[in-house]
Amino acid sequence: MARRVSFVDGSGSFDDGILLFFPGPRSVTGEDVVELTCHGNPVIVSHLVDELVAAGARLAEAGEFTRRGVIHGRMDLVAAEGVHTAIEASGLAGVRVARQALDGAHSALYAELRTELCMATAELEARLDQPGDVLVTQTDDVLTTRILKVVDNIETLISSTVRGRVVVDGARVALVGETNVGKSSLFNALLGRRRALVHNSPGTTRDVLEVRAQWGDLAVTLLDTAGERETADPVEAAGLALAQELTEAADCLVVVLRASPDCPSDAESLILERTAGRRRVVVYNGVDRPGVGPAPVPSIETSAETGQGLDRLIEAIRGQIEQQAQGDADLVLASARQASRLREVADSALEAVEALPIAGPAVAASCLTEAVAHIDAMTGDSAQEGVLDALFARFCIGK
Amino acid sequence: MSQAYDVIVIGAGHAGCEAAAAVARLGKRVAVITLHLKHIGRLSCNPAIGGLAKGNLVREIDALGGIMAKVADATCIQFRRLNTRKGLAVQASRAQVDIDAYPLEMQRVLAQTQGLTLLEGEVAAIRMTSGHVSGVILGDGSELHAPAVILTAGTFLAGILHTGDVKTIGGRVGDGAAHALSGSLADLGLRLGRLKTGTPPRLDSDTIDWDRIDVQHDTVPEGRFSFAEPGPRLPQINCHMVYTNAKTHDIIAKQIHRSPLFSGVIEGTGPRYCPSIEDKVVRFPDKERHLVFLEPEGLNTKRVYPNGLSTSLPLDVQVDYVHSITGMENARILVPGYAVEYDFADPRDLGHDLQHRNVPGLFMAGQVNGTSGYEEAAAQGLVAGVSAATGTTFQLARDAAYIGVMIDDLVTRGVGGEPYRMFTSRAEHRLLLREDNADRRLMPTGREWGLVSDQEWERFTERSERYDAAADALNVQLTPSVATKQAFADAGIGDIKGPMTARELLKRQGVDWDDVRTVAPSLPELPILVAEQLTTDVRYEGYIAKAERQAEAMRGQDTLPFPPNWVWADIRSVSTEVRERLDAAQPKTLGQAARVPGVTAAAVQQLAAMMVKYSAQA
Repeated sequence: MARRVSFVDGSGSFDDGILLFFPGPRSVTGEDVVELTCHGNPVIVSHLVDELVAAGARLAEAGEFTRRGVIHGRMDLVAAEGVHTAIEASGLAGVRVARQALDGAHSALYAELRTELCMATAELEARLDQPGDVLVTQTDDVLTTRILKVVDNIETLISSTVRGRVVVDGARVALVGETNVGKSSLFNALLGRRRALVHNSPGTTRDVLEVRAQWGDLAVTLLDTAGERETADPVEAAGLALAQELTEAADCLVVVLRASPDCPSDAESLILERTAGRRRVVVYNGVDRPGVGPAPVPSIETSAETGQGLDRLIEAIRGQIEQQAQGDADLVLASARQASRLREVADSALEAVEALPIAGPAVAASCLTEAVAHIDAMTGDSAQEGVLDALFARFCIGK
Repeated sequence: MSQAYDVIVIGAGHAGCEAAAAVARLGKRVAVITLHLKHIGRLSCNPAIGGLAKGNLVREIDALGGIMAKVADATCIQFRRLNTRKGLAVQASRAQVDIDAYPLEMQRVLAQTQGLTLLEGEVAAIRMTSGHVSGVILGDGSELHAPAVILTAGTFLAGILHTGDVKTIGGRVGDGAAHALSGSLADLGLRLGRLKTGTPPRLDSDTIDWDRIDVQHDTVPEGRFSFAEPGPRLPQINCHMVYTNAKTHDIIAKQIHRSPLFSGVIEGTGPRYCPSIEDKVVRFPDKERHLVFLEPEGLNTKRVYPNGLSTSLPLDVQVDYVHSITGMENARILVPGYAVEYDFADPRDLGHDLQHRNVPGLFMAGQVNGTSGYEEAAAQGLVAGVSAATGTTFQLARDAAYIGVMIDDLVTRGVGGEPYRMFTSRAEHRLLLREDNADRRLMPTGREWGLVSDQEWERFTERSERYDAAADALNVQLTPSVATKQAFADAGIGDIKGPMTARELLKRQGVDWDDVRTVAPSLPELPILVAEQLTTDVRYEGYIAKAERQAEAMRGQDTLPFPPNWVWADIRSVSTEVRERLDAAQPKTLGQAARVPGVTAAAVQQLAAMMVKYSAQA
């Protein structure tokens, strides 16, 4: 129901607009909801809010509207996380992933997996309560196959979280290399602005710099790490340890080699060897300097100073990320919380499969019941105290 | 003339007997009123005690000082362990008992009980004084006075028996019904519903061709329910097994319209789990045969109970389908099978003490609460008896006893349209609630409440000490010496490759306590019961530890009571539907609220948050 309204304070009308009334329980929160639309001048908006608060309203807490929706059964936790994803997504691909969650694609799959596990549990439970005249027909093999199929489904979904993270948060691209090879110069050149402190004494970058960059429709988080060298400086050592951790979690590495006749140095050889199994782009940086000679390994020749090779580098990174984010799964998971819950579901289900021949159907059924409980905790059907608080604390606005 | 007691028990079936015995054990005066003294403790249906999950109930009753296990042991004519291939944790015992000896033994036990009076008569009404129960009024107008009355009317409230289209008033074949009382209860505001249950025809042993029928073998001749010193055993008998066939199913299918269960004559809802033979034929048309156990009803009777053939079909159909089974071509039916339809009172109106919320002083136990089974009835009798005698709710937690699961289910969720039967699957903590460890779970509680005798407590303490000592001894190291290797080979328990503890060896499949003792002579000899407890605890320790953690998490919610100033109608943060359900169920704790059907997880969280607010105000 919509109607034109006039906004009036003690001194008379200050704006006009539209009032939309959504009666519960079919509104977004399940309660009666009113939306007011006014003109966009922040002065008007803020005055309207002040007047409403003076009249007894209060500002919504972070995630409050979604939370109320969950409490009144308008959406489950999975869809609620979809709202969060939609707000936070770094690109259109991420928005589409969020849409899957909001449209209930994940919830539907979870319901299906839950039903399968419940059927298997019921089968086992029935055996416990059926002596002699057994009306049960499924063999252990059939049951095991059914359970393992659920586990397979879960594994597929968990493996899609890489893609989920890349399209929602943006891929993480880490620059690694020996100290003083010009990583920070390259980092700045890739960002197109001066962000990292550049100095030609080794060990200038002692911490890790993390900056988001947008290359066309590709969103990335660039990480500039401290160069690798033995160090006695505790601050630099801590920075190196952190760098190690972050690069391990990166979706793509940019291995920076310093263009010189001695390339690769012993340290560089070590880095090349250590990152051989990872998604990476090797860069031969500083080719503008005289007398450096050709690259000793296949690599992209760049110069942070002249900008030479930067476009090729970005394209190479894009290629790596696209491969990383590729998956044939239709359904993509963006929530780390759900991924870790799903891991528990799969573990409990596998425990049931192991227990069945050794400890019998009673124990196996208990393991499956636990698996179902993990699903329920994930979807909010049996959310433990505190889960909602933790979840909605991540919302930064009152949606 | 009026007589004053502490507690009056109406009915002397399995619930009534156990209730009265519990009251007397606590030193209170109790009167039991029954329609026929000779029918005390009768087995109206099959001549067996125990079974899956039910065996656990019997052991639990024993651990709490009850009488059912002892009476069953004294009259047992066959003892079996069920589920032996489904893991140690869910095994259960079942005793075939002599159908004539069991009630006699029960009557003997009750007659010897101090402070217990047995009376013959019909109760016409519950006597009320200022809104509280004050006794009972008998059919002849006389009164008995007591501040607490336990109603254990079984299937006798407005009972109707059906054999085909023949209807008889009664609660059991050969007995009348209790009609006056049913009316009186409705006047008190009890919500009554209707349920049904069936029995099979009883057959003449002399007319069955036993030579052509398989014997059931897996018996445990020395098995006992009770933790007490084993007494003498009656001679043991065999049970047999037969199968229905296509002809049987055909006969039933053609006459199905004559079954009141199907023609709509019986209004009550019947059980899905103990279905009549006509139910099985209709619901499982693909099944080619159904198993029927032939259970002799006793040593001095020719009656045989064909377990699996319960029915309400007319007698001529019963004759035909019985004769269609191999070995029973000439079997004579001594008593036709019949279905009984009766009133029950909605157990959701009861508290965990089984006292009616709207009729203070009235306790209810057994089939009148919508349950099925002797064991379920006896367990409720015990709880109602202790609660009525002490004036304090005798509540066992869901992770402590099947009894606790059953009563919490009954008062929180109700019976859901069919008689409530105890199942292993109803107990979420079943790895903890084993038959073998019932004494370890419950005897300390029973002792605290004054239910366990000095003698039984001493025996328990001794068992516990032996358990602890044996558990310690299991840490002994075995080394793969030539001698040990030989001992392993001799015992047939595999090989020993590296050093291992006796405890690790006990975890091996198929290795029992005595096997371990042959290679680790330092281990003490143990009574079978203790060896079984310890073996199960060791073999399942990982799963048991996990089950304990889950129980712990659940217990948190169950120990969170709603504050005294809590008013359900005022709780606005949950939906109207959920609020109404909770208002009707009146749960005492957050955990119980969570188990009320239709209460969502989100609602439980809201309640938890509200409880914090309330307690801040209080």
